[in-house]
Amino acid sequence: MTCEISTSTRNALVRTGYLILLIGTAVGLSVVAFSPRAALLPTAVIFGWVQIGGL
Amino acid sequence: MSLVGALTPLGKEAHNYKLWFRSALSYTAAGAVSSIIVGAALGMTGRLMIGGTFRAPAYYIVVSIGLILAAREWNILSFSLPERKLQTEKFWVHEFGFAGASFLWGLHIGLGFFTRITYGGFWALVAIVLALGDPLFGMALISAYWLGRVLSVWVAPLLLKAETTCAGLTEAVFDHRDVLRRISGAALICLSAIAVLLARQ
Repeated sequence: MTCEISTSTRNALVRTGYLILLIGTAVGLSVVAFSPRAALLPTAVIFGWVQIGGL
Repeated sequence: MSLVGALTPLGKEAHNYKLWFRSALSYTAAGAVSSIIVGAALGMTGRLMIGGTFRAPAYYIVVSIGLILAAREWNILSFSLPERKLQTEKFWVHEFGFAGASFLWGLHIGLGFFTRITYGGFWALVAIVLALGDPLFGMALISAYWLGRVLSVWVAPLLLKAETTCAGLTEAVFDHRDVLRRISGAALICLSAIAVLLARQ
């Protein structure tokens, strides 16, 4: 049971992580043209998201 | 693990969706309050400590910090981050119940400095908030960081299938810590690049 969960969950979590990175990068790149400061916001969201792997 | 391991079972295993929602909301709101306070305090400190003349050099210091931390995330450098090697207080759940404890966990974890940090992004954010010296934007930036942290709490139950249990969730995420570190490293490079742009403005 644990293996089954691990596989589906880990794949979904990793996919979500990559999706957030992709969206963050896209938003960051588009925003950076107008305001480098605003581009920091999606970067901050990514820093927060990766803490899912923290203790 | 960002409270995912503590709160997710409430909704998925115990099927107590109302309690899960109240707990997740309490955690989110309390952490947002802490983040706003920390962001404002850091921004104000930066404003008082770093004058206009030193703003550009401060951004270049942020660039250096970002690159060093990115090298750490990609295993090029190896060093320990400054952090308190503590987790939040688990016993609060016995004293205040899940919703009350979630509120306190949010307040505690949202402060950022008083629990484990694990990845370097937090320190890079602290550095850039200090360099910017803008309390209002500091609040926004640390709140965005908190938004990313709580996102996992809200998303995790949606990722789990109803028929499965939550056992192994923590281990499953831990198995992918290397991926998360690489993502963190990429984001640190982005932050460094933005700091260069800010320095040249």
